[in-house]
Amino acid sequence: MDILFDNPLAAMYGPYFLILFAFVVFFTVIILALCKGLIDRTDRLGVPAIPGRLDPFEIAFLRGGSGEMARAVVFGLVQKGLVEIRGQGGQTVFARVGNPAGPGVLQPIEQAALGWLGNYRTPTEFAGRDGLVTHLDQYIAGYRARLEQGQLLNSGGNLQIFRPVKWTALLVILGLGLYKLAAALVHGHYNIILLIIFTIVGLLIARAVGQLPRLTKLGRVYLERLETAFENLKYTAAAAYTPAAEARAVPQTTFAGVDPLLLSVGIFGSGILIGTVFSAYNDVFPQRSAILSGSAGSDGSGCAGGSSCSSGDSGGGSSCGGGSSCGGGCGGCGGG
Amino acid sequence: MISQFPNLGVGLGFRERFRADVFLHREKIDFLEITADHYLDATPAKLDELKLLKENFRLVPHSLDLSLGSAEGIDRAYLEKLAALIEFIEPPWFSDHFCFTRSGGRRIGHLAPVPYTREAADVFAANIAAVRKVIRTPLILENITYLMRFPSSEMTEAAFLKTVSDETGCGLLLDVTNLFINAENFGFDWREFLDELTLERVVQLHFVGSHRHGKRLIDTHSDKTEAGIWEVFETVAARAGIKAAVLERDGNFPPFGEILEELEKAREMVHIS
Repeated sequence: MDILFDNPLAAMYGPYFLILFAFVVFFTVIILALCKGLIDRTDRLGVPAIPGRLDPFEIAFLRGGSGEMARAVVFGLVQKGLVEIRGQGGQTVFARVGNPAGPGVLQPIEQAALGWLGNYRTPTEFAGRDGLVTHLDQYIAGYRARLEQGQLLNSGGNLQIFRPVKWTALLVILGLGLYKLAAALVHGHYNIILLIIFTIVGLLIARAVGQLPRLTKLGRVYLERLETAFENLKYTAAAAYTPAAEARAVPQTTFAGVDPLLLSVGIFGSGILIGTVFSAYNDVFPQRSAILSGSAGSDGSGCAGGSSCSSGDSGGGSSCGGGSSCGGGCGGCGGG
Repeated sequence: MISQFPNLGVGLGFRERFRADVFLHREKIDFLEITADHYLDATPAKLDELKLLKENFRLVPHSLDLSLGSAEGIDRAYLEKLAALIEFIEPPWFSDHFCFTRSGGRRIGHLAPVPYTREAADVFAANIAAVRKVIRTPLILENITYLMRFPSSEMTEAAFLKTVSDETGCGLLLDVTNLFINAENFGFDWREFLDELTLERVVQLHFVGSHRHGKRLIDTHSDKTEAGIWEVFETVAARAGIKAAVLERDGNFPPFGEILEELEKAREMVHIS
């Protein structure tokens, strides 16, 4: 006990210790950031060519995870005139209003989503165990596997490598803080508020830096390339669906079999629908910010629109954090 | 040398408004010709665009302002910027024009014709040599349209093109629309023009529709390629071992499907060697 609390570190004058502690936090965070950079070396790879046939749902998944992908799928059904957004019993619902003209009209993932919708569903039902995201799990797994193989998404392997580094960093900060706290109390010093604040702030910084993003550096660049390539498409595609223009429920199919508006929603999110005849869709699912959202291991199914949900790195599932208001319009975390 | 140039197929002169379309129809566009000048003092957004295009298409730069016909020589700053762009793109060749665009140190904002004289040919030879000292990528030169011809010319336009290309070893970018327009406006036979050229030197073609303005045809790059120009195109394609053809559309943009139809028609006529 004497050795434990009777040594230069334990006896160090408080302000000096705080300076030392700040240095320890600083260097720990730097090492953490360096390790993160070393795990993701994809910036050395060439950016993949944009394929001739684009899948809007896969792009939506890359951009924002399974929640965004599911919303893009449902938007495709709305655009095809098979589903309508209605007010019903004081709440907004997605109501099925038609059937596909024949086999092959819908992609399998759209067919699965239409089947899940049944007669109608509320936006809040998109999330959860029986939600649309869960229902589309096999397609999500396919997208995830392809994107991880292309090194556009951080894989579970990267997460496993990085997790011990992150926890070590957190334990160094927490351990040093707690040790000095205990030493202070043992020596009868109770002016520990700054030490507690330093410890908490250090942990928060390390936690933020230690968040492995969903997208790899290559994935971010690829998504930026997609946005650059199709920047003008979002204006031209949306312009065809303004109330002033002739409202067309039937999608355009002239673009190499990919509807330009659906592709734009996949790349840029539903925010591009503002001002179009599909504005109501964006009101139900406000556009989430792209690229930076989510963390590795989660599928980004968390939140939409303006909320600041953060995802855990536990290999799946997401949780709200940071005191944000997940819920409300988006129907809570989990994609609604 | 020219026979060893790669075959690029039928491409499109890239314009910003085509950006999404070229990606959505990339299987129908063999390569892109970019206007080099748009990327010489590029904004970050234009640089992003250039990277995007380079990663996804074979690119050939087409410059506007080398002013190879200027007796005062090449603008050094422009040349160095062009060299940097070409180094980044790594194209099989690049192109400019049989014209001058600078005089007395000023840009004149127009592709101006030169008199077809021995002296002018020597100016071109000297300027091309200066360019080659900085840019090793092969240069090919394009015929332009003109509204007047110099009485002091000592030879025909075709003879001038042949002289410069034979003496410098430069390939030719034959703009069949420009040839057709000049032939119509000045009443000469474009077949005789072709007979005078060394057709083995023709590397690439440009084509687009002409625009009638009063009694004259003008080169506005804003119309669909008409039958007369297709005839020139087909004739040249059959007689010359061309490596590439590019549709140059700059205005009055049609639905992209119409652009693709023109590319497809060109592809049917071209026997890329």
